[in-house]
Amino acid sequence: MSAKSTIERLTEVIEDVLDVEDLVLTPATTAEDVEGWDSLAHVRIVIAAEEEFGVRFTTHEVAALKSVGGVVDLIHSKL
Amino acid sequence: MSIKTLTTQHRVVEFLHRSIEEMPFYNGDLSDRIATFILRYLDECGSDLKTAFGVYERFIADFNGDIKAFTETGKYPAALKPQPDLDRASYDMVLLLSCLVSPHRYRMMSLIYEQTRASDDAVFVGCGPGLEIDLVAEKFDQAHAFDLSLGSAPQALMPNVLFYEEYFPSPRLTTGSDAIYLIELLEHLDDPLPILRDCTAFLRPGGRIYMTTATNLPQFDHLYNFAPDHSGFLTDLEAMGLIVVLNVEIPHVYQSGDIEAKNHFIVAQKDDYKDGS
Repeated sequence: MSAKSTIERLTEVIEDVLDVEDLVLTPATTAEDVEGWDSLAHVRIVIAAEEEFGVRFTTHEVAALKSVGGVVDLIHSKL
Repeated sequence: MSIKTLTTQHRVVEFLHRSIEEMPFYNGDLSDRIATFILRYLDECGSDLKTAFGVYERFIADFNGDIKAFTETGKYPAALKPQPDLDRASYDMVLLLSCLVSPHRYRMMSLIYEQTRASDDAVFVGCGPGLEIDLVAEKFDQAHAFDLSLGSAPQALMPNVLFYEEYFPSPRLTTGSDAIYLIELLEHLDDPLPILRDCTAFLRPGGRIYMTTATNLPQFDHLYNFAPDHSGFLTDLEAMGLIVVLNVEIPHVYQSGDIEAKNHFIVAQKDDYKDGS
């Protein structure tokens, strides 16, 4: 599975959680770059990503996430 | 009922509480007590967890905006904009849920739960929905609770507590007390010292005031910002004849900005000698 396909799937997850369309994410994108991605949206995104990719994150892993690339890397580490 | 009864009803609440389970101050019995109270409270109000969390989410979204404004201006929302229209029931839901999903609020409850000494009676000033009372009421023969705006739920859930919808001190209660709780109250006042003087006067010798302060917490209804260095405030307490026996700093962490926000949980005991002199 390529990083790009994971980003595409993650983008759809985030679009769904934030109820937005045509979101453009890169590995360098952070929560601050995306309107509506606040602390509670972050938790919803993490939970939705867990369901989408069939993985489980610890709270320490989630707290350490700084960018979309970090989320993608974390997902890959669990697949 | 237990914490699992509640968290299995809401995935986000479960996730957020999971982070608290990893904290050194986590207490399973306390989580069960808080969760049970919340579920009983929501049931009494005819509400449910999903509705309550929706209210909580909107509150946090507003708070994140207030953190940003505070970062830019150094001012609390009360000095910048009109008060939001938040009814008592909604506010109570936010207060209650935050105790299970916000580490600093949970820590505050854990300190109340662990530090309360058994005694004859206690007074809770600004009791809100009453969770703090429920956590420790069994340690007192009689608990009195004051709030300017009381819903019906606290009285229904705690029939043995005497509730007063009025200011404290009150001519209806003049017996003095062994314990007074000022939890998340002082920051809502223009000046915290007058109520502390009243409480100290009401306190019996050797009795304790359990209080919290708030620093850099731009909540819509906060008026007083305690200086990061509490030394001046602690000196004021000593001047009233209070001895500080516990002072715990409770830092906050927000994704929306590092504003060095914190609470202090302070226990101050009335000096027996000064009272008798």
